[in-house]
Amino acid sequence: MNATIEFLQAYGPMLVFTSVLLEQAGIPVPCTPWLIASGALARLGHGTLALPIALAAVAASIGHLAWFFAGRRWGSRVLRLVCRISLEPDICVQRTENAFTRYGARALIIAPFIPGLTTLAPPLAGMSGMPMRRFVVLDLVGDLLWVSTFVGIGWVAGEPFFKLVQAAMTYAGSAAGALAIVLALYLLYKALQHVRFTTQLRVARLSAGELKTRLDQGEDLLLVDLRHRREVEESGTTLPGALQISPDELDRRHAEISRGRDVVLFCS
Amino acid sequence: MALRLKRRGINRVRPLQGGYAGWVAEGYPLQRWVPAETTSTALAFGS
Repeated sequence: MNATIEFLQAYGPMLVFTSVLLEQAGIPVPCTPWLIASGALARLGHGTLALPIALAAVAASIGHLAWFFAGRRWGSRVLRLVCRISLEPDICVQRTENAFTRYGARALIIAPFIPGLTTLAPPLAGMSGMPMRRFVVLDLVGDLLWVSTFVGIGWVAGEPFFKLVQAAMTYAGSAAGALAIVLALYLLYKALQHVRFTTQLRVARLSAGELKTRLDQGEDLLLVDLRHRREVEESGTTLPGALQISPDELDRRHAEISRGRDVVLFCS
Repeated sequence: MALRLKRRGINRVRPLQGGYAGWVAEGYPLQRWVPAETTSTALAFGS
């Protein structure tokens, strides 16, 4: 156990900063184990709570600020990019937009606690034209709450946390082995999420070329624009004859979609 | 979303591959979007 503690004392702050920066920037790297470990380390008297909290909050804020500016510059294209690199299903854009609609700017405070939302909220805030100062304040509040929660969990766990790590290391053979197992499990979980979504869908997608041909042939198709209202307003355009229904309006307005026609859905 | 519609009895549903961005990337025609409160029809726009 001493070797683990010495390792964390030496590299803990760097691991906290780097993993949080990468994870909050959208790259699927688990950072919560390091946050929890930092808290547990502080509980044993090997460090403070303030340092990992400050480092993690700053790292998260840097990652979020980069996406905020990207969202401001490139709009909805950034949302799709974030969805792809974070291995989240492509409905995550709509989920995020719905959260913003529901909670407004406060979505930034709760965002770090919701998988998928945390990396999508900053570019969406940038897209919406939120002033940078307001974004920084709300984002920092959310980051501090999120970081403090996990560091706090570690502090409460204390020594048993290290015993658990020790057992995992014994099983895996080394610290690197334990780390590789954690990372592999995390990536497997994300990949399974993605596969489950696409399997559930089980609907052959229609290519843009095929749709164009069918429209040119005069087929009676109903196009439904599922982009969020904010996004449609931003682009100012939609596909010919498309009916615009935001995902959050679907339950209320589904009767507008004819049962007897072929329906083509599209989002951003 | 397609699944949500299927659960509501709308079975002939297909998502557009690449979405709006994919359609735009192909250079296919678009319509100017006008809020429903203003008018119910879109104005012709593009080719």
